Parts: sequence; structure tokens; C-alpha cells
Amino acid sequence: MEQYERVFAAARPPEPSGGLEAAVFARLQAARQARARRQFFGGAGILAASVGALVPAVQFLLSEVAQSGFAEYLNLAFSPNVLIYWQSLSLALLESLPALSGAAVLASIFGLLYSIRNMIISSRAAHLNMRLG
Amino acid sequence: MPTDEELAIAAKALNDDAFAELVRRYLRRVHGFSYRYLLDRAEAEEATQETFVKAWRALHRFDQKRSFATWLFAIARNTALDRLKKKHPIPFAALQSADGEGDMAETLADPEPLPPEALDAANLASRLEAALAGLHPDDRAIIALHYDEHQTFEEIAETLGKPMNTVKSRHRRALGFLRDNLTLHQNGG
Repeated sequence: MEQYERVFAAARPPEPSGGLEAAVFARLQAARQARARRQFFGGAGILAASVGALVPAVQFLLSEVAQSGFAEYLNLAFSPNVLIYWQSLSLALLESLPALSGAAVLASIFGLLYSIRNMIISSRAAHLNMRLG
Repeated sequence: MPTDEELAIAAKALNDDAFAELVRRYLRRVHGFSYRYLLDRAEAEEATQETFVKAWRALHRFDQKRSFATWLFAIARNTALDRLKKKHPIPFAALQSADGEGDMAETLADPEPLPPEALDAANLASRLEAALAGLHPDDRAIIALHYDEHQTFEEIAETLGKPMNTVKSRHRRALGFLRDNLTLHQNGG
């Protein structure tokens, strides 16, 4: 096998051109910028969708709270006799909890925060890339 | 000095300097490996650039229990194969079917040594280049990984995604082919 090693040593692949390293870094830079752009515009899309969804979600939540009697039950939780009927009150609170609209509001808020975080990260990356590039 | 794997983990955590260091460490090796596949300098340079961009994009999938070199050469191999397929749409079906013979690897004899006159010839490098061109690209990769990169057959098997016995048998067959080719050319003039 040593013999073959000597043979293959005689036919090493050619050296890369001097500009290859710079070309690789340029391609990486372009890929980083494209990723930052994608993240920024993706974030902007989610932000717009979250803001758009937040208003109807809050309206839906308010109407569900009004219809379910959740607010009244919640008031009872602060009454002085709460210790006597806390078990039935907890159950009533749980039953009247506007779960669907609450989840919609939470999802919109999380979407909003996530998109803001992503946009900040991608803006920083783009800024850094501009400085380095 | 940090290991390749440590640098890859740092690069995974968005440390661009760590990835730049990996590029510097592997540039020549990936280029040489891509050249073995593509047999064209310009194509190999393009493939090298593409390999590093793909590796950067896929960093989140890098498993730190694996060797970085094996992982990177696997990407380089796929990149080179994609470029080859674009250039030559006909698959290397005849040669690929030889994969099934992997289980015979342990029963195959070691390749015979080259005759001394084949070694001493002044134009050995160019004749070897020509002979290598007659091999299947994956066989050239096995030769490159084993003799240029000093990888074990186990590592090569991981890089190529093939069973180790298949790699061993393809290595032996490739050496046999090269030996025949070099001897033939030597005798032929």
C-alpha cells in the first residue's frame, strides 16, 4: 500500500487559485445577507399579521368575557366569603374562561414579540455584515 | 488550538470567525477532493465555494459527535455529484451497480504491487491523472480520501454513505484498474 501512497503523492490535485478563499468568503457574505433579508421580511410579515390579528382577537376576547360571566365570577373571587365557596368558584371560573379567544390573543402577542425579536436580530446581523463587508 | 468540532460548535452559535477559520483550514482539502470528482479546476473551485455555503447553511444539523471532516466531505461529495449530474445527465448506472458486491471485500486479495517500471516513469503524474479519469467519481473519492486525506475506510464509508465492505471492495477494484491501466500504458509506450 505504501507503494500506492507514493504513486498518489505524485499526482496531487492542483492547488486552488489565490482568489478562491476571497471568493468563498464573498459567497458566504452574500448568503448571510440573503438570510438576514429573508428573516427581516419574514419578521415584518409576521408582525403585520400579528398586529392585524390582535385587534379582532381582543374584541373577541372582550365579547366572550362579557357573555360567559367570567368577569362576574372574577369579582366574586375578591369577596370576603371566598374561602367558603372557593371550590365551586374555581370550577365556575374555569368553565367560563374564554379559552379560544384567550389563546387567539396570546398567539397574536407571541407572534408580535417573536417577529420583533427576529427583526432586531436580522437588522443587527445585516448591520454587522455591512460593517464587515 | 481549538479542534474542528469545537470551531463547528462555535460557528453553530453564529460565531462567523469560527466558520472563517474552518474555511481556511479546509479550503485546499475540499478543493482537492472536489477536483478528484470533477477533474476540472474551475468546476472544482465553484464546487468548493458551494460546499462551504451549503455547510454554513446546514451547520444547525451538524452533530458534534461526528467528525467535522467527514461531515464536510460528505457535503463536498454531494455538491460535486450534483455538478457532475448537471454536466453528464446519464447516471453511472453500470458502475453504481457494483455496490452490491461489497460483501466480498474480505475475500478479495490485496491489490498486486505496481511493476517498478510503471513507478519510475517520468510522466507518472499525467498517466495517473488519465487513469484516474477512467474511474467512477466515487472510486476517485475513495482514493482521494484514503491517500490524500488519510481517512480510514470507516470514515470514508461514513462520508460516502456506503457500507464499509463496499468501500473496501471498491478501493481494491480501483487500485486494480489503475494498476492495469498504468502497466498497459507503460507497455504500450
